Amino acid sequence: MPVINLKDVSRLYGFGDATTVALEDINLEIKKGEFVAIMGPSGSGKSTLMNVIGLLDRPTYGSYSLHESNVEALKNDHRAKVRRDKIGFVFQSFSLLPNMNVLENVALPLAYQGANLHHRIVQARTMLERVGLGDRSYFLPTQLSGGQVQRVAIARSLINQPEIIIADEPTGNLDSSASRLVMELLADIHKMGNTILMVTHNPELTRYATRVLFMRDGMIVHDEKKVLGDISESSENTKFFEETTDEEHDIAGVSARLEIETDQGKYNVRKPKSAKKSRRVSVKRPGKKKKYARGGRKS
Amino acid sequence: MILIDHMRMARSSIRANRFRSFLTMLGVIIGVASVVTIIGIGEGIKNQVNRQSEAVTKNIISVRPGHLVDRDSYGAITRINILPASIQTGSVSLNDAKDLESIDGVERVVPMSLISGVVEYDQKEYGGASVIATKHDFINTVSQKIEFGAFYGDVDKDKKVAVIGKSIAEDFFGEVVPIGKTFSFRGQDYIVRGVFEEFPVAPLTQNINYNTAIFIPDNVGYNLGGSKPQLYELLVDVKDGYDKQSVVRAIDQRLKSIHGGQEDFTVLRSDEMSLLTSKTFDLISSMTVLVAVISLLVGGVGIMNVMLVTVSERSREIGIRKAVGASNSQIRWQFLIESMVLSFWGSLFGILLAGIIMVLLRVLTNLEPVMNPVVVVFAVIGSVFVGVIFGIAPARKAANKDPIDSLRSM
Repeated sequence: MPVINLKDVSRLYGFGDATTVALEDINLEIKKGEFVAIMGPSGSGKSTLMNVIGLLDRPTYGSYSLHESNVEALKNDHRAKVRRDKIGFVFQSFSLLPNMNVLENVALPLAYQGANLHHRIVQARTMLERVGLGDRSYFLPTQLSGGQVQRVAIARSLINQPEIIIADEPTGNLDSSASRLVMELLADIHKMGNTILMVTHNPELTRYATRVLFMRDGMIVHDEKKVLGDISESSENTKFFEETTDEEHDIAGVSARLEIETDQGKYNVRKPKSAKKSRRVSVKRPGKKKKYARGGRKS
Repeated sequence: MILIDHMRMARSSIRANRFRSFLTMLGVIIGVASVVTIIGIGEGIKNQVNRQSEAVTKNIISVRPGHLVDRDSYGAITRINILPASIQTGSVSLNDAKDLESIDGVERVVPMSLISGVVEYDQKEYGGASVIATKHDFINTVSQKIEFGAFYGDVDKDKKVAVIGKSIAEDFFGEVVPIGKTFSFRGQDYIVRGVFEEFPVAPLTQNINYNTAIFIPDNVGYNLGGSKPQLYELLVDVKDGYDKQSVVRAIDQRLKSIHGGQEDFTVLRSDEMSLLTSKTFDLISSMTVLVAVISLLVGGVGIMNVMLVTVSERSREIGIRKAVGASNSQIRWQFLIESMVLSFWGSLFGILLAGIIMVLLRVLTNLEPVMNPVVVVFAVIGSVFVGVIFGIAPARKAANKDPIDSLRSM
């Protein structure tokens, strides 16, 4: 029984000539307990897919059922309720409210649920303990490191015991050790039976996933089920995305070397000399650095 | 989500931006402070006037020249003519005073006459004194006591003696008890007999300030004035056990018949005398309160402005809140309560400011403003109301924000 079931889902932005297709006829079934990594170049529709699944966005066409009940036509407040009870979000950055302390941030979804203060604090504390930040309860988000912020964000996403965790590049701004901590946390959560959807650019992180989706131009171009612990083979092969013919290659090669003709005559777009000049200007700074630049020119 | 949570959130976001929150509140602060202060000054003046009239003219009726008030058939004042100065002479005469004494219920009539001229003492002139010629009965009519010396009696009515107000003693004679001192007025020398206790004074009244008055016996004064004494007021003392209102009516009818049906005089009860002043002040203060209420509304516009800016600035926050499950109405409540809390605190600060202004006024001027708790409560309720009204638009804007756009910003 799939938790998430998308049928022919499209999402268009704008209208008329300015229409852009963010998602095109997506068909996707995600079962309970899957850890899905979604990869693809920027602009390929990963985030839009996340937003549609996370009920922040509505599909323009197609149907979306969550737990076998259609949710694409729900009213705003009802969608908010579903988000609150069934989905947890982890964003790339700035995911905490800056003027609340860590504990309050974690307890926020419970507050919107209407739980009483005591329950909220107890729950939030448990969650913080679970992500290893119990001693940071009364810190402000600005007093935490990037990795800690993301762990707090994960604690918040877990507090309602949601079935689906949506993480949009949770390690995008982190160094490798912090990002490993965050990923191990997500892997733990996955082992407890949660369904996780994660957008990432880093092929390394597909080790934690059980399924990898590749997106391009609003379509899922590759869907691969894999074993935990392995890096997705296709993700290492970046050529995979380039579905181009020889002819296209040739055209690209010609247009790259093309000279532009203007009223003033022919000239090369890329002039090495002018490029050098502009670089020197940008290096120019007042004070000591100027001196340094002069010395450099002498030698 | 419970109201308390919204309030807690409002508090934390207001605290996070203290300076901006203060600026937001500033309009409400100024509005509330001005409303409360103006009403306080008005009430203070009314109290002072009441005290004055109680001290000077407790159980008496005042007959004044000029048509000062219109009355309906029941005798209640319907309109006050502010324009004719109260110190208007001519239409009430000594003969009227004599005539009134024969009315049943009238104990005595004390004519008050203002004599123009400058008093001189020790080769220096003093223009601030009003010289009043009146009968020795004056002291029995007013409930004010003589502090030093005594008032002149019936036997002194042709002697050149004087009783002075406290300010005259201090400012003009330069001592507290100048009894026995001689000053000259219109070429004649007068001996100071007594000094009055300080009369309570109300600002803005049209009555004469008795603290700067010199009382001389009536006959002496009338001789000075030449032909006909100019009376500015007749104080009529009512006998005990008589209804004041019926005496007023009797006086009114008697004078009207003497004056040939012309109503060129005004008969006032002592409680109506303060009414005269407070009605005048009410007119002024109602205009000022209107201006102050407008400034409160402008303060509300200020709140709306800043809240609208805040909404766009905090769109990331709104996005996160929506992502974790806040519904539109919850966001709407959050911002609405925030502007309510802002205006509430603004009103509290405004009341505090009004209190400071009032204390300063009491210390620095002779005004005695009072803070009325009813006004305070209404100021708080009013500004919270303003906060709600002007918080609606920003709250709607915040609630209707698209979560994706909000999350994408920043």
